[in-house]
Amino acid sequence: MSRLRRFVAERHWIFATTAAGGFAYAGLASLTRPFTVEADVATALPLFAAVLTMAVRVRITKRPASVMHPNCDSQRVPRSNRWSLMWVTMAIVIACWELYTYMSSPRSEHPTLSTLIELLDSTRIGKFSAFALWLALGCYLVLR
Amino acid sequence: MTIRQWTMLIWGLLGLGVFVCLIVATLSKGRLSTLGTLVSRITATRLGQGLLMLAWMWLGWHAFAR
Repeated sequence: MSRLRRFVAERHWIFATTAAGGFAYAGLASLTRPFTVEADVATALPLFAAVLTMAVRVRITKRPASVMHPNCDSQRVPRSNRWSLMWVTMAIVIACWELYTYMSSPRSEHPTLSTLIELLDSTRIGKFSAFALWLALGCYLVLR
Repeated sequence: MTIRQWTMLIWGLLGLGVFVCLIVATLSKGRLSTLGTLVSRITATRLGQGLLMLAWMWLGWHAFAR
């Protein structure tokens, strides 16, 4: 069982409170507009919290040797197989398409990923969803 | 169709491709690497975890602040 799953199973009330707090924060953040101080602060706070949490975790925990070496046979680090190439290929294709659209002109005819994100952020529910997803992703990465 | 619509269509197809890969990898019960497996491999080292965190930070700042 992954550490995240164990954490959720053992401390579900903490998880529920954190999730509720995250949704509430995403709701508040969805009220802000980009290029404003409010948006800067709303985005910067989770960044600082993530850096702080990471720093504390690095200080108080030492990773087992099995996790330090990615080529080990430990079950804590799942072995990748040739099908990992599927994800690498997908990432390369998306990166190439992003580069192509970024370099093409007129820019209005070639929307990039940033344009799509702007479209998503243009509605309140879209920004709320995107912000909540971003917060969840941050928690996932910090708690790994 | 305009160039913009074609570009959007291709973005949609790429998104659908990622979604299909996610479903197929999850349903394969470990035969195919899931995105989680790949993330686990990357975050197995502090460097990898730090780089992914930096990417997450940049994404948030770019999408919501600037």
